[in-house]
Amino acid sequence: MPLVVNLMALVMLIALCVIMIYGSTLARKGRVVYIRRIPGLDAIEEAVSSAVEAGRPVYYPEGAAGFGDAWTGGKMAALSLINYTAGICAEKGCKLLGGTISSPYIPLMDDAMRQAYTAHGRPELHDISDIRWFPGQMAYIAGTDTIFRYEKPAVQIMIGSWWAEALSFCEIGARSGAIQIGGTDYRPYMPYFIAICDYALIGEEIFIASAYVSKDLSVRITVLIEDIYKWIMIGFTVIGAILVISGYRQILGWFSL
Amino acid sequence: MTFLTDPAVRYWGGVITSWSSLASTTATFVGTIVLLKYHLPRIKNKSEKPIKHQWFYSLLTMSIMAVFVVTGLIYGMTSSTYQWLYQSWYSPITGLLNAVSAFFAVSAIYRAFRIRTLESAMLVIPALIILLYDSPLGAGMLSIFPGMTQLAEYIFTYTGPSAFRGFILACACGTMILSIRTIFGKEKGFLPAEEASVPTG
Amino acid sequence: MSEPKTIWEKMQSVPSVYLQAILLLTIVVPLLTMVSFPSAPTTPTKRYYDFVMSLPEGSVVIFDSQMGGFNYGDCAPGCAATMRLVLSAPNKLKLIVLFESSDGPMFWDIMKKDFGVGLPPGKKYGDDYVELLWYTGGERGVAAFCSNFRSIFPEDRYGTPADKLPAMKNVLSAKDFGVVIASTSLTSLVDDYMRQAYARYGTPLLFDPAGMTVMSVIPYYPFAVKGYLLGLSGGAQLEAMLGSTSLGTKMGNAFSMMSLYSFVLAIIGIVTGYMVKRGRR
Repeated sequence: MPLVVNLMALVMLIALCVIMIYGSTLARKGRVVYIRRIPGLDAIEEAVSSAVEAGRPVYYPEGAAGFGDAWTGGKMAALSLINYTAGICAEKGCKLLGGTISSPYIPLMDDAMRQAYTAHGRPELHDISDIRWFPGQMAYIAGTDTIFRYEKPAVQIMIGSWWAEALSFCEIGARSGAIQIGGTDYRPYMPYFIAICDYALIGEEIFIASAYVSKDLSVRITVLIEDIYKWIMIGFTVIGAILVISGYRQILGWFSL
Repeated sequence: MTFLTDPAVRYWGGVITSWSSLASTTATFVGTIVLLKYHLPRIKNKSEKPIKHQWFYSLLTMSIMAVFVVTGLIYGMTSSTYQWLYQSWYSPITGLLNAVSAFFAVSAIYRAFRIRTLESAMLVIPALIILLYDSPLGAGMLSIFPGMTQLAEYIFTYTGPSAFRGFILACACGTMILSIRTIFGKEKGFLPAEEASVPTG
Repeated sequence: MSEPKTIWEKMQSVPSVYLQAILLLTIVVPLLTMVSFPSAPTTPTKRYYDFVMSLPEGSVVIFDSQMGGFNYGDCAPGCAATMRLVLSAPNKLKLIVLFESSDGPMFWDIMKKDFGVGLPPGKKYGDDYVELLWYTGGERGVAAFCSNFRSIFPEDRYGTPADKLPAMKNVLSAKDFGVVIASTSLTSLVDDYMRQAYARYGTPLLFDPAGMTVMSVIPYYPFAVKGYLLGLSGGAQLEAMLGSTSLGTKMGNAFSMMSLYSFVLAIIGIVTGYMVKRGRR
């Protein structure tokens, strides 16, 4: 039996680590990375302004995906964006409501919001009771319907790791006329946000957005690292496709996991 | 463990994997403590925030949680008592709320399906074909028209998955980068404010 | 907002409650009657069936059920039809059922009762069919039982040690699985099996994904995933292929009517949207 298996995956992991080291070097040299505008992210500021004019709160439910498994990335990206949104709400003097079904997530969300409101000198606008906990995916839908009925948020921002509740949330928001900005890395439910929301972040844009709002250069440089890595994968895909079409099917054995 | 075949590495990898599945279950206890911290003060103070009669809903939540926990501990989760509780209370409500999304989907379809541009036509027309292909009767109806079943299967097997493979690669990249950012301490969004401001190099 | 004037504007502003009331009828009527709608099994369903039938004699089929209260409708027909298929296959397959969550065994029992599924004559619990308990930890749990099956499942659901169950005798890791079939509404479970069973051990996979989860399965089809059932619809198709009619057929009929209604509604929505836009020009 060979000493190492899944060789290709190991090679790609090492390649990623090498690219990350290169990226860190660029960050230390102060290299500025241009990240294109993400319309959904820009829309947050406009949407919060309209919420302030209407005198209604902003609602940021984070997705029902589990905390501590493959969807943790999306939830962490959501935390950065909650912090960003809370900063804009604090600046404009608007309340931000949160929602989650993951109880360990409540203190993280509370801290992200509190930090932003305190930094803008408006700590009185935030209270932990602004973060609503729901016992399950379906209770989340029912509870959000209640929030829209009693508190009537003007804006609903749903950027995180969303599952099947996405459609119901989009529909509840659309019926009440709220401005909706959504995005998920969970691919089966991306189409709901694209079809129903006013602005949608597609797939990995939620990770790019969390890097975009970070002021840390080394975080922004990871976007460049990701692009380099993707180009390498595209290169392998094109070369592999050409070779396989030409009849060199042995290449499949090299790239098999 | 994923890459090395050494028996010792595999053995300890298996042990650690078993431990980590235990560790993930203990996160449930963290959740329970957070819930108690959230709801008990509201019950004690008869709070009317954030919604009217909040204290009553908090009391209801805590009572139902206590009933399930005590029943599970005394009788066991595979006992008929616990199963009756679960099947009579939890499953019908969950199923009901899941079914609600079908009704939402119908009004979303009526409102959202519009052909305004070439791009939206390219989205809507395959969606309509797949809507029929997805059901037994619809698949039977499609088979009446020559080539339609093959078109639906082509969309389902080639065009749709091709786009999703792109999404899979991109989202996997994003998740990997975010994970590595977290491991190296660059991602600070989840840290408390005091720790987030400490530079990590 | 101004009052709708033309017929098209009136149609566009029909209150949702009327549309939903008609939807309720399209779902309830087929469930109360047993109508035979013409149906054609799709290629993935045929491949699912063919792959099970082509397994070597005596192969072990691992069935991971993630069926719960919220996805029972989508997963149950596929679970019932698969259980019938595996236990009645001429290649003497052994079916081992495990669960992704603690309510799995409960819903499995409900499914067997609702769909009238049981052990066919000549099959014995322990020799041909075993029900295990649930595993925890998501992907970590899948990784653990793929590398050491007995460490996660030392006994069956009823407390019988694995050594005393002939069906589990030679099942030590994913290398001993003939195929893994997962009935799930979680994309993460699809990825978990791809990474832990297929990528590491080359175990072939079949899926019974519910609803939108099928989009997560399709990219791996037909290479790693040899076939799949398209949710409720696929389960009803497989049931029809097996020549049986039960609750799965009725549910398939209800789903067909719902899909047809959604199709008609979409066409009406497109036409009214176009006519309203043309009227405003």
